[in-house]
Amino acid sequence: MNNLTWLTHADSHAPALRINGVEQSYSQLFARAEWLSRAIDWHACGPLRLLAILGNHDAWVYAAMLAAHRLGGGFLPLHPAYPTARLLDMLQQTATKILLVTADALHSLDSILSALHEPMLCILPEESMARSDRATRFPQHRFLSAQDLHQLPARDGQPPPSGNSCAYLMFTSGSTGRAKGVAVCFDNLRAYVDYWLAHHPIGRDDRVAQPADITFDLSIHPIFVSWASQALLCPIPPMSRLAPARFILEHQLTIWVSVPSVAMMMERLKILQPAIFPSIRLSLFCGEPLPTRTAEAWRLATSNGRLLNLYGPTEATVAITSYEWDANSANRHPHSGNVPIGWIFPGQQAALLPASGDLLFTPGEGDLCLSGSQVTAGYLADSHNTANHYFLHPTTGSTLWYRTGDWVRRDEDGCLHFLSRVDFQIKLHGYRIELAEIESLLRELVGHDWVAVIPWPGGEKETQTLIACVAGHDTAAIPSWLEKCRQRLPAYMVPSQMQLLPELPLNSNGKINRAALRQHLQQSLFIDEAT
Amino acid sequence: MTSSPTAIILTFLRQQQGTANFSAPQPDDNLFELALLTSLQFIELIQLLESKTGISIDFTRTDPSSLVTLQGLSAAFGSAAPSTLNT
Repeated sequence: MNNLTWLTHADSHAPALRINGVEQSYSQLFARAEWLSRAIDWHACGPLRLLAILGNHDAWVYAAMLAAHRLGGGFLPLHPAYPTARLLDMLQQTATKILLVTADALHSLDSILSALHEPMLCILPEESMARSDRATRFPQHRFLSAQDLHQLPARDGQPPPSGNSCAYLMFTSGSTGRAKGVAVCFDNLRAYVDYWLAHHPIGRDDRVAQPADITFDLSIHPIFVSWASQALLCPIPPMSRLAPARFILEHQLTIWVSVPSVAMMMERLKILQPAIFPSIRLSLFCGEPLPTRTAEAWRLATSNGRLLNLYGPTEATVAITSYEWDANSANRHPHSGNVPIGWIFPGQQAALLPASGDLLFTPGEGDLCLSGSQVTAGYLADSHNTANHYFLHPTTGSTLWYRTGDWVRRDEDGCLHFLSRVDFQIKLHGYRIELAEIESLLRELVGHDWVAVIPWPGGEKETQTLIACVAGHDTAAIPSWLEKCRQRLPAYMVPSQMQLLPELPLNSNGKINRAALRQHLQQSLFIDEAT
Repeated sequence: MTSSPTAIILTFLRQQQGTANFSAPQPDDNLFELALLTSLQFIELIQLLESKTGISIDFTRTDPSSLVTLQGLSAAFGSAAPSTLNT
């Protein structure tokens, strides 16, 4: 039997999922999961035992996650809007052999299948998904329709082979020009969910917002904490997330989980009036710095609720520190621009790695390092990046540490404050982006190394867009370069514009001088806007 | 002369794209899917339309998914978009 908390309510008639106007109870959702799991044979899937899910805002996505877990395997979420080359790379890196496809992703399927040489078993669960002529057009692949699934025998649930088995695999932007796979194991996910059940329990009366795509690991929180608690999960349609006030009110949401950008957008649209969202009793923000101004506006808008600012990289399973913003917080941090990231979760460990190389557990500043049951063991088949970020320290024996690359300050009371990145990784609307990954592609496109991507406006201001700076004169090539970026990168990583310069400024070490480039952009863009 | 909401939107999109070969979307095209708008540009456009037309959108009653097309935006700010557009 499988003893994962989120699989324990299979017989409950409580509502589990409300999506696209349709509600499913736990028993209905698990019946779908059981039905889908008939098609899943891990023997044909390679050692990672992953079910790839090509889809996003669709009920079958959720049944598929449960189907994988009830058979002791994991899932690999694939966004149908991602470029085909990126999706293929993710499938190939994980050697995944089973792909569940939802109705909102059919348009991506054919381009993937035509480029995929390894045989793939495609599950098309929606009755309306006619098998069409895909079996003829793609003879190297197999297809299972709803009718086929009805013919297959049921499979008994089984636990994961070990706690180290992969529960889900997320890809993050990689500095070497290729997305990095983070395999979060069942022990990691169980530790995370257990923390929430113990410290911030929710229950059958709760309706939980999910305003993040399933390829963004912040979605893991609402999905699995809801299902472990018999709460109702309410995924928000992508276009409604721009300003989801009506959605919150219509669904009487009680738990809010999002990146701060969503609240910041609502603040700019003057939606955050005092007590406008009385049903919300707990708000969680994670994924990027939360401005104190936005936190205070949200706190007043959700006057019956508590507000927690969370912090955590994908490698440490969604979030691993928290700070509660309350009525007195504004007085405690009168001059801070952003809410502190707070204290490490009980049972997890945080240390600082300053330039000296010592691992500090005392107040100070340094690269934040994490260890504990939520921290993953390394990147998928990427020894270079694993060695750069995961390490053992002579002073802590066999404890594996993950170096986040986030430079933080720790106060006397242990409270952590995010200060900056130590590298060229940025957050844009919560998405983690390695600028080096975009620059790697640009170098390939333009045929030389003189490229730099500048987060704009950046500095102390929130990044709103990316500007690519390239040495050269060939303005006619810009549209095709940007088009190739759109073909190879997710939309959020595509530069909004490309600036050609005769040459890029260099610093005394001969490296591209990004500060000077930013200054140049400030002058040239200001002149453009003024004229 | 006061510009129509449709004209304001098209001017905004053209400025944001910053390209000479901008072509206007069809009335029911999703502006996000065409990469003509980002979420921040959407906010800026709403603020611009509100200031130019004097109409404020009540987002407690309006789902933003109805505002992702030229037609939807134009209707929300008081004018009907033409069925086809001259670019």
